[in-house]
Amino acid sequence: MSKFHSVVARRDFMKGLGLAGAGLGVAGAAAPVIHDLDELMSSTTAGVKRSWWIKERELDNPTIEVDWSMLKRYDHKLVNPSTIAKQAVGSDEYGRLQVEGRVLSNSQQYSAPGRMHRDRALRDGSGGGSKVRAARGDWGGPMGTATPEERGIPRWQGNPEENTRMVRTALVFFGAAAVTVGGLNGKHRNFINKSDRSRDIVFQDLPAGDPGGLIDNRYIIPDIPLWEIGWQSPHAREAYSTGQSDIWKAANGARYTRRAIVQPAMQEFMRALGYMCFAGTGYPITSGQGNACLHGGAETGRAANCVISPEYGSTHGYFELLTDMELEEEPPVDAGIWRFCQTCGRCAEYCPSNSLAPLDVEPSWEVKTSREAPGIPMTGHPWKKGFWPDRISCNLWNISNVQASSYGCHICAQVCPFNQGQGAIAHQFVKGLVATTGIFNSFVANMADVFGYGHGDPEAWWDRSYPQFGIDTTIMAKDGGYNK
Amino acid sequence: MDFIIALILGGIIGASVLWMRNRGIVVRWYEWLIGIVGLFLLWFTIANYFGSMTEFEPSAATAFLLVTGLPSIILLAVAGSLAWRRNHSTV
Repeated sequence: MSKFHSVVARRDFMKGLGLAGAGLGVAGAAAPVIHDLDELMSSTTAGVKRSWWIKERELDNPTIEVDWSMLKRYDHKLVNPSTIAKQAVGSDEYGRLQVEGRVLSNSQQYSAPGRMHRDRALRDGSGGGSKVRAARGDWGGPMGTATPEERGIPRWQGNPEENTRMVRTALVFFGAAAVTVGGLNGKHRNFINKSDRSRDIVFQDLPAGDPGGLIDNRYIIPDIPLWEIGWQSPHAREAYSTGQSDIWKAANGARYTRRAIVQPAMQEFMRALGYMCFAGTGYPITSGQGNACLHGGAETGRAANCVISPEYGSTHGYFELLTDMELEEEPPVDAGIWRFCQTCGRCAEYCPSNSLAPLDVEPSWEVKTSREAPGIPMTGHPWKKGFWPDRISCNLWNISNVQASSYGCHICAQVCPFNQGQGAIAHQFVKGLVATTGIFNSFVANMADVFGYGHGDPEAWWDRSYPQFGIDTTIMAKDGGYNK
Repeated sequence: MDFIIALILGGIIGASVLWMRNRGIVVRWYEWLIGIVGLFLLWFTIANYFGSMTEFEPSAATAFLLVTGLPSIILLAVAGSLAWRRNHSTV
């Protein structure tokens, strides 16, 4: 008896086997393809492989609109937030507010969540490194290692691309998360400030190899071709996002302590190669954040207190080094961040002093005046069409409430939707979406509140297991299998 | 882990296709599309729920259940319902 049914069944069986095999093959291939897609599609910006959604722009054309004809050397003495806030309200009133803030702060110390004994100990340990910071050395660094001349070998010679790659590798090795470089010549010369917070910065013709330094209470810079090495030092994100806590202050202060190690190491490295490498102890000589925005590290945001990195969001700081080693001119990037800031406004919404531009305010070339002192403009470098924070109201609130720093309480940086971890895959998905199109930006911005991001628990922080320094140092690593 | 999840999902899909063919169940292309989108959202929800919990963001984890998990259930139910109704309708 012929068994047609069984013949059909065998055919079906073979079809099914083939289908299952194809399915297994696709499934097996899918995982590594998905895993490697980012690598396959990664773009190379800022000299490193970045996620595919971070796109290079043309040189000197960041996402925020700038007018190079308006760029002047910035006199930081005049626009230091505490200086202009004191000018706005008078020294007596400023002093009264400081006392008021001190009383409030002291009343919370050792009793409020995040201000307890161990929190304060963490803050003190992080910041002080004051002795560690003092060991950093002024201007040219320790200047203890032998120069090529002293070693009897020629000075290091490389083309700008080779030099940039080498500088980046060394600086990351010493402790930077990311590095961006560019020249300080021609129209870029005006990025060198006219003063830091207290001292004038002056160009002079100096003997070859002389980096200048602090002389007669002025910073003397050699009037030669210079390049800027900007480097990023992330905050411990979870620690940083604990509101007005001592843990937040510890996270913010930790990068200065790390700077005291990274900076002299890099300066000695450059000295050993035969090049100058100097940085102001007075900070800032230039704008590390400006360097990051111009050369691929970040984009400007609404808060303007900090720029926003595609990888680290707003939880980071920038420092800068000046050198006579010829480096590349790296282009800015577009990750959709500045465009996102137009429709987000979360930082402004959470600002306790209402010092940030709300959603109904458009970017402007004009630096507006402070509401605390109508005759005094809010701080800002008026060469970009941006959002201008009211640093006076920010500073006045700060000194009378949390006594944080001249640059405020940092709540704006804490609640930025770009501060995301590596646990949930949605973050990369959303970053890619935001970088590609802006039509979902409002929805994504609203979801930050729905999802409750940016509000860490200072008590719970102590019971968690975070990586070294509290930082994911693998984010920028594209080789060695670290970034999984 | 991703490899294992992909294997399991591939196996489930393959087995489902075989089962439906054996039963003579016909699935239209749009039902496939709705089902695949629903399945993707379900995987997205589960992955981000546990990812958010590892980030100690319980609010976000719960939000994923609602924002993407609920639509995934709805889409899977719609796809299944459409296929079921057509294959069990009496003329």
